[in-house]
Amino acid sequence: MMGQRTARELLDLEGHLMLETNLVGQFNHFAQECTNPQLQQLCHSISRSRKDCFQRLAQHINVGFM
Amino acid sequence: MQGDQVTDKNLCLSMLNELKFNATCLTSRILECADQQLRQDYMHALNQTFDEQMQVYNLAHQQGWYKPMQAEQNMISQVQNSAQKMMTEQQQSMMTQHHQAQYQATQAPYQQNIVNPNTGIFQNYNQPNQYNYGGMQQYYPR
Repeated sequence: MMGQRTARELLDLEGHLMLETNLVGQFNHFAQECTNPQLQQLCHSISRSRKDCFQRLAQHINVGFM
Repeated sequence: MQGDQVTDKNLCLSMLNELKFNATCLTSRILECADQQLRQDYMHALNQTFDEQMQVYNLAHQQGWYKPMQAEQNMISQVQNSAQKMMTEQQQSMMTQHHQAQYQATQAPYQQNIVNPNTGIFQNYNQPNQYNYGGMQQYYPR
């Protein structure tokens, strides 16, 4: 999937993958900390969704699914 | 119990902030992106973020954790007046353009045969067509 990449794209990708990783971790942590079941479910759901976004973007630097 | 509610409220507001920040970052990535497929994937991630932000907002609103301040009537009137002035300025600007175009059309018509930079077509700008200025009559009927 990785073709020609601009330097800016590569730097942005690295930065954004880091951001998505932090979000996955944070939302998992929030799910453990909160007491409201709706909020807990939402945290889990968003955490999964951010992980999907990470995997989709990671393909652009030839990092596959784990 | 009250302490738990405050914690949930704080967590929820933190989530809102995280998602807003992510949306801002994604917008910046999209604007700097040259590759179409990468751009599409960033846009997909941004749409996901919008959906998630809305879900978190709805929950916060439903639980009474987030109450945006309502605008007062005098504030609304002030913005309406301001928008009305802007609209008038835009119309004046359009009329100025119209008068300039009319003036140019009456000056040195032999200079009007030039290549349209948008289409690359050599054309006579004195003859209205789909590409050139056709006058304001259709927008401002008399």
